[in-house]
Amino acid sequence: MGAEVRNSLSKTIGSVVDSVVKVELLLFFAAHPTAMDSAKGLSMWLGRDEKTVEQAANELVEATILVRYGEGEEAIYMLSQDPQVKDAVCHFVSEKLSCRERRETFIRQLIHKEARK
Amino acid sequence: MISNSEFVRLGIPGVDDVLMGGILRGDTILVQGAPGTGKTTFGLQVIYAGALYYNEPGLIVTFEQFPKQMFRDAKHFGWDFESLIEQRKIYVIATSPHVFQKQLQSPDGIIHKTLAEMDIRRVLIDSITHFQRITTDEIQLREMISGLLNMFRQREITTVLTQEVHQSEHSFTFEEYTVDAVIRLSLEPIDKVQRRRFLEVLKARGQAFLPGKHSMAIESDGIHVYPAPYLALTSQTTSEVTLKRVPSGVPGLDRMLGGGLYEGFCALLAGDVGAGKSMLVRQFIAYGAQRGEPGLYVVIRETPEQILKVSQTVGLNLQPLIEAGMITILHYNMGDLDPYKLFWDIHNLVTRKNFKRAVIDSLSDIQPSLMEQAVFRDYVGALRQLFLSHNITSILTFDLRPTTVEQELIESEIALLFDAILALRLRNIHDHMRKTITVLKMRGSEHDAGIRYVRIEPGEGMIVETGFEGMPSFLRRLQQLSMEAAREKRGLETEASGSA
Repeated sequence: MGAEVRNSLSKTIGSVVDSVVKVELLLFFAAHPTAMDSAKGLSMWLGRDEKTVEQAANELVEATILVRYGEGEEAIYMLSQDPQVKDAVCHFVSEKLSCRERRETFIRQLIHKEARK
Repeated sequence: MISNSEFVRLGIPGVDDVLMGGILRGDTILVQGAPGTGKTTFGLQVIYAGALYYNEPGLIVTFEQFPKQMFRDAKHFGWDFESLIEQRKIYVIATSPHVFQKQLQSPDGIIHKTLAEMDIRRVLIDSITHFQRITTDEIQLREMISGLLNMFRQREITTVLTQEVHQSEHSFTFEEYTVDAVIRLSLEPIDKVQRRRFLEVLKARGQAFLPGKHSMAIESDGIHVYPAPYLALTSQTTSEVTLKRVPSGVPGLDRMLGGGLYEGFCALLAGDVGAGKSMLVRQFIAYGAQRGEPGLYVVIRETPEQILKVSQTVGLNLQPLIEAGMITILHYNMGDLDPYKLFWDIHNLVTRKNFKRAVIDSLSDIQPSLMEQAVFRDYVGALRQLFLSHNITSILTFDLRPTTVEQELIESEIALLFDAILALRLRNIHDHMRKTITVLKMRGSEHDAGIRYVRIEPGEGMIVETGFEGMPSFLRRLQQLSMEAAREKRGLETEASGSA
């Protein structure tokens, strides 16, 4: 994939990932690209509230970062199998979230944004 | 008769020996254990070995532990899971039991697609205990797990399921009935401060296996299992004992033995601490090495440096013999001694090298790790059989309490295992502690049954005197006292058992 496309996709991901739970979902799927789970299951992996996780996961589905199979309680979420999306997610994570310091800065910025809202 | 092709080698050193070749293809194995017993490591090793050595792609399903964390830990054993995942030899799914079960029920689901596309031959489900998150109803759970296992069985996929059980649990779980094989891992105390890992096969449908507990160790390259020697050695062939004499290298002792031990004999050298047992075995091994007979020296308490130093004080220079490969020293620390591992290390060495002599100094250091007397007896029996099957003349030392009389030693359970028994004792003779040696048993040969005086001379080592000339009445009295003490002890024991 060309660096331009990757950067553009990475930028899009940056604009979609606007909450701490989304960051955590992105980190989880980037580390485990073959993981698949329900909102309830993901809430256990992340140690977060199920409803919040479900909402965040659905928003990532709308942004085509995740894919969803089934509906409602039966819905299962996975990382998109599109190689371009997978690559962009990995790129975004390694750029913004791989180092602990950068990750903390990114999360702090999100918390400020959420507080301003 | 089951052919070899029907067996799947799990790839964990020692486990396939316990399972007498491996597990039947398509079988499901339940690996049980308390936290920290190595269940996940066991499962990961089966998957890794399958993908790397047996061209059997594997699927890992984890319900709790992050795969990333699993693979980070696995790196400590040198296992590169990421590389095998990249090569599409291993696939890993982090999910929850409910999703996994639903996916399995759906024929066009991701799991079925993966099984078919990658031709998965091995599956690890870590852990089956998490199915209780779906329901705690035992009937429902049993149906669910049976269905899941049957799906893998039909595809001839070897499946490893881990299950958390507490050390103290003795009752059977329904999963034990559902699966084809049950392997229990445990971490058991051997004394107040130490624990040892064990593996036990509780069930293996349609195949033979070695029953009982086997030693397990988590080493730098993963799990190693050391089967209980007395069970694993039963099929070994035994070589004939020849009539060739093997001199000990201790002047005087060979005269007592009628020329030395017979080739292939296993001798017990029992005695008080400080009576010279280690000195005698050092001379035995060094004398052989000087005559071109390679020797194996297994030592637990002393370090090789200490052995070299102490030997030099009596003019025995072992260093050149070690450098020439005529003496091999196998040293263990008492603190982390695993007797089964020790046995298999000896086994591997004697099958590789052409040893003519061997010594183990001392059985007393091994005994505490074996917990039960019957296990100790069988262990010593296996050592004897191992040496005998390679025609190695061996001496095994054993500490005696000062109160133990010779008669007790002769009548002890382990004495029956030995071809010869020598007793090295410290005697209070005319207010002086004196070293003495007695040949208590020498199978198939006349021997000097007298109590002989032993000296250790600088530059000469151990020397056995011809006897206590001038003191025959004293020696007779000494033997008499020993026998009386033994009789008295036996009488007390009979009385005690009678009154009980």
